[in-house]
Amino acid sequence: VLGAAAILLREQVRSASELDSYARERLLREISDLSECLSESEPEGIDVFEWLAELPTRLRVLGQGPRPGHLHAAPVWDGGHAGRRHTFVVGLDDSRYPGGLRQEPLLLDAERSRVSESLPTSARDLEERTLGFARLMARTRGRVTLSYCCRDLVDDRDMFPSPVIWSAYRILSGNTTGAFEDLLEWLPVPASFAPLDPESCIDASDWWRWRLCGETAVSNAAEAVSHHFPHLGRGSAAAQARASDAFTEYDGYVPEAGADLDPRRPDARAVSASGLELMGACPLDYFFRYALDIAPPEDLLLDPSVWLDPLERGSLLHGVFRDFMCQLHDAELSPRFERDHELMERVLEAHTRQMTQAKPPPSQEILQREVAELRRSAAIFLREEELHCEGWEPFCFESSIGLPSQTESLLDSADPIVVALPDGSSVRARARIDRIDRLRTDVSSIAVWDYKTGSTYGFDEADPFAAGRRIQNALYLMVTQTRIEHVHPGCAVSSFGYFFPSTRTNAYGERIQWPAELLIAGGRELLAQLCRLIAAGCFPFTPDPSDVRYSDYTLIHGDVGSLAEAAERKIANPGNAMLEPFRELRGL
Amino acid sequence: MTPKRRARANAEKGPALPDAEQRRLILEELDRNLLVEAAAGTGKTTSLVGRMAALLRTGTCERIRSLAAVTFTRKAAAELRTRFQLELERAASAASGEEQERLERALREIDQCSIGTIHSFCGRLLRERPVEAKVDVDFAEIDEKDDARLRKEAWDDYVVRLLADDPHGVLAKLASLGLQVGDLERRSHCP
Repeated sequence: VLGAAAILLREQVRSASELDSYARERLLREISDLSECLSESEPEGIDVFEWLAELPTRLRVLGQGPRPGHLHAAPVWDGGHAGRRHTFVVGLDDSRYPGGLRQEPLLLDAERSRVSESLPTSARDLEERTLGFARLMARTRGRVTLSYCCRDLVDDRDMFPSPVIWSAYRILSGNTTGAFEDLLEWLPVPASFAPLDPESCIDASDWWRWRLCGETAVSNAAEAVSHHFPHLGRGSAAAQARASDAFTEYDGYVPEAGADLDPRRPDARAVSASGLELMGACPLDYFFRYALDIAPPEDLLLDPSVWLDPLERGSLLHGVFRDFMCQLHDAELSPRFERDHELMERVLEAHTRQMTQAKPPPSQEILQREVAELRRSAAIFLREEELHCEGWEPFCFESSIGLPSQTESLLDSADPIVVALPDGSSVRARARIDRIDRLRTDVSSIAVWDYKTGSTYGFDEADPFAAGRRIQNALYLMVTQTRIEHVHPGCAVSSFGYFFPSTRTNAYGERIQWPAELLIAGGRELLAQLCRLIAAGCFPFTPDPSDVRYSDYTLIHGDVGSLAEAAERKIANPGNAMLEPFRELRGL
Repeated sequence: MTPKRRARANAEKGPALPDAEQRRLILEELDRNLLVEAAAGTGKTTSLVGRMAALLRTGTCERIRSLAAVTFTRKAAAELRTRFQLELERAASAASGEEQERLERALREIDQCSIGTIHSFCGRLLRERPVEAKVDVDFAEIDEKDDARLRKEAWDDYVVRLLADDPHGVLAKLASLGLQVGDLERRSHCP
């Protein structure tokens, strides 16, 4: 191990300065000494790894003696020999100096005394520390400043002076019976990061802190900062604009971006349900994603109590349901729980195995727990599908429209589908449709299904569009209708529905379904509204904080509550005419 | 003058107090353990300091290093330390002979007296006696976050061992109750 450490230091470690070279030489010398020592005797009681880990903190290189023009730092027992005119003794708080009696646990004082009277004890050690301070005081000349830290900034609590400061107070003040409270009253105002007067400022930073925090604070600080630091000035102007009732470019009003992003342009990128729903939920998030192309940084911190996050879990279950249904479809079978339960388990096991290789679980226990939950979801799926497929025949699985094909579904289309809007314009849409079924008694009647592996939170049969937050139902229905007319002329989509085959709150195999007429009529108008909002460059923050509960941009948003309140104010302000489409969308 | 000081001053020079006998016991009954319960500002700390000095003066406590005073706050500890020193100085100047020698010795060794918070006192005991306390010689106090992390690690280690080898049939018993090991973990996090 020591040999390997030496090779690592010699061959791999970068040495960028003289200091680095000295440090490396010193480390190598220590390693060499220990190697030599161990080669002569049995290595008993030495943990080489631990020794190596502590080595860099133990060694000192390029230590210097006192030099003129330099601040010299030395420990109490070693300081004061240079005869400086100014000496500062720092760290004199009661928890640090002189410190109490600390017996060496491996050989207590009583045991030491029995072994030899000359072995040092904790009392002698404490005495040495006290005497060390007395000697330092005796040999220092000139002005001596004693200081202690009166505030622990990490724990935010008071700290108190060492008894030596109290003794110094009694000597200097002449109040020999002065108590602790008298000392605290006698001490000057504590020094802080902000100097009390300009004479105490060492550099420009100190001077600024004195100007900003001192008693004679600058009257026009904000103005001066804005003038001299234009970037800060612009930031300050942005903060003011956000705090106002006006809807400005700092709140997401960017007409120029709107013209570029307008989905109705012939060269615009194809819209997706998730993109439009993001616009419906929080337009500002849509702006971040699609106008500024901001992606959240990859989160490398893994939660040790979870194997799959909701997206990964959903993706795994979608794959399981797709493969399972494809296999049954190929065998021309309708799902039967008793017969197909084993097949479902095998498909799930294959996907789980694949996933564990891509993402190893934190522990076997967690894997076991999550697999059990996945199995419950798969069982719910199968049981519900057995009942559902009595009336319906599934025939397309994960159809890809405007996206790369995954299952060679009948409805796959490399090109996006054009969806007409009420005003005669159109948008191109892409979609990945989980399931398409046809009625067994009338094969021209088609139903579109989307699997949801989370809870039913936010889904309401009586409110299909959730004030613009949901359009997947209408968009997928319209896309399927257009595509199926091409592949199977005469067929018509009669409904779209969500299927919740999970154990999450209220799910347990629930289905929420809407008829085509309802979705097409409202969906086209909603789609047009969202397009108009995008084209107008209106990207306000949502006034409802629950819309951004799972936002990718929480780091940018900061205080969501205040942001939502500001958004509510701006939306309610009739002066912000450009927000009228958003008010219409939300029914405000 | 602070209210505490005023109370002390009154206690020192005022007429005989109704609890004078109890106060005397505190200063003179040095071989008995006492519990003193009294309202704020009635002189508990003064009595405590007086008792500590009396223990040393009479030789009931031979060396100051075997004396400990425990407080709840750091401020109270710092205050008690100075008051104790002042009391020792006062007592030493008023004493004579053997008693004066004892008190002067105590003053010289005053830094050896353990006056601190309950945390520092317990920390010192554990640092001095790690073998008896069955803690690592080099132990350090942990904060709440580390505490939660270590508990979690210990639990995960236990579960991994249990899944590998379950001689007492814990998993089977849990399963018969419709529970999994993870359910216990979630339950333990409930307030």
